[in-house]
Amino acid sequence: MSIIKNNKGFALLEMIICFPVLIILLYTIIYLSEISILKGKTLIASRYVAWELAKNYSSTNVENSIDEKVKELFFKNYEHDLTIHSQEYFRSIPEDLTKIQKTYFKTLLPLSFVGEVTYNLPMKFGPIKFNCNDIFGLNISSNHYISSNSWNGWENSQHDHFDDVILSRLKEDLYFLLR
Amino acid sequence: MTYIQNFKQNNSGQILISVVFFLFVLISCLALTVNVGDRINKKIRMQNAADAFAIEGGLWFARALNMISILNISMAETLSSIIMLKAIDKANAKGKCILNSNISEASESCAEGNMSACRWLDKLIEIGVPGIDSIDEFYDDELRETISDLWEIMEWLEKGEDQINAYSNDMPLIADIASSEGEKIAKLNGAEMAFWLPKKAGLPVKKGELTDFSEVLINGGSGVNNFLQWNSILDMKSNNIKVRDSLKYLWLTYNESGPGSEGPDTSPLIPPVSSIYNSEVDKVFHSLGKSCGWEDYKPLLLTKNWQNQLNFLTFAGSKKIDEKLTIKYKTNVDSYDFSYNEKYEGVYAIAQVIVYNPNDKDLFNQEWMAKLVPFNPDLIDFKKDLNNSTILNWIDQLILLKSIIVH
Repeated sequence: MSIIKNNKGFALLEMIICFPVLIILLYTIIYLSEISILKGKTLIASRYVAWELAKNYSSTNVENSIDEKVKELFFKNYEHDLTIHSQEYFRSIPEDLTKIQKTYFKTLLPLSFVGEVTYNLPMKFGPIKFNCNDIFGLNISSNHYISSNSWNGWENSQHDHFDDVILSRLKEDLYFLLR
Repeated sequence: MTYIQNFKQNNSGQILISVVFFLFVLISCLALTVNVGDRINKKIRMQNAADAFAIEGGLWFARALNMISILNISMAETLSSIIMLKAIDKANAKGKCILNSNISEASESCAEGNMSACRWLDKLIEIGVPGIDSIDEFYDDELRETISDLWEIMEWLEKGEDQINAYSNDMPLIADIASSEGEKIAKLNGAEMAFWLPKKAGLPVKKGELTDFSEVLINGGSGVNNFLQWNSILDMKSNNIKVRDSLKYLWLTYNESGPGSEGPDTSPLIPPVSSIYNSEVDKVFHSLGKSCGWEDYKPLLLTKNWQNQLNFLTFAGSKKIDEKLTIKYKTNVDSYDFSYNEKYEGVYAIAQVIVYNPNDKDLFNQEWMAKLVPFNPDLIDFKKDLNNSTILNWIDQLILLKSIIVH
């Protein structure tokens, strides 16, 4: 009673219809796993950037050397469509510190550093890659905040500040004493 | 029979079964990929947040200890200056007699035509040594005023130490700052809840005695930049006033053959100010201190078991994916609950930090820092939190967690 009596090629037809769906799903899994791996990489890289900057921020040209290291350590086998951003991050002064007289501190700058790593992953379908990143690209971005050890944030030359306080008094008196 | 035979002979839909099966498998894989990826990344994020919290909290303790160290050093420097001025006063008293006789002898020699004696007198005038009588008045007034100013500085410095080590509502000020600032940075790093233990940890410091300054005053403080020896105290940055050179020129050269190394012999010699300084230090700590009220000024020192009090744990959690391990955090009731049994959504991470000093471990050395260490709750001193039953329960669970991680 069936309209189509000949079953030949049914399997092929079903296969032709379903195969692309399976392929799309398979490539989607691969693409998503790549996104996930890259997200993990940007997370660890952003931590690395922030910690390195916090550790060496007084060194000259530290940001360029960090960029190179991040590319080498985390994105060696990736195309470097990578944006690395690092900077000082000033937070507000803790309220509790106002209970301590400000005259004891030369400056109060709760200083942190932020590292931000962004990887632009092009849209991919298996081996086919869409290079128009502005339209199809996916920005995978992570950032990390960290404070630096240990005087940074309070004034490094705090000792000099106390010397100044003591010596400003001594200076007036000893100037006459020792002129 | 006919139905079964027809079913066997009819091939239509066979692929559909396979496709449905593979679709199910692939969609499951897709879900798994998203879920596992998200969970791993969330875990990394939480670990980053917990580490940042630990470092931030530990740093405030390190900064407080560094601040106390600087205040201690400044107190020692001020005390040293006071003693030095007293030493100068004594050297002056002994020296003025010799200087007086030298001046009269040199004046007589100069009148008799001795040119070297004349040059010696000219030199005295050149460096501005005032007349003996005016020296007395000058030193009496100026020294008294200077010493009184320095005592005011001592009070100011000691007050600073008290403020850093202060408590507010039964909570150490520095623990309050460490906790709130750490929580801020953990939240910047993506944590939805974060806290640290021990909650009420104070600075591991106690009031010392005046005598704790004595070694520092004679031998100098520990650490690279903490110089407090006789010569070094005079090296303190004094802008345009070269304290050391002036003093040395004015007094110490009398040990030799007078200013300009010419002129009459100055024997018997004046004791060097440095030796008077050292004997003054002894007097201050053994007799003078008690009668003069100097014992009121005391440095802050480390307690005996300070290492245990500088270990901290931090937790950072995010409520995105379900986890067997549960953490409940109630900010309102100020309590923690930690249980394996309840079902709760959350990814968490733990970090441990210690505050340490790589060099001389005392409070005359401002090199305190914080670093992350492997998780070991046995090192944490929870004594301050022991009156809180929920925290006690939490600590038990922590120890259980440690055994799970280790084994």
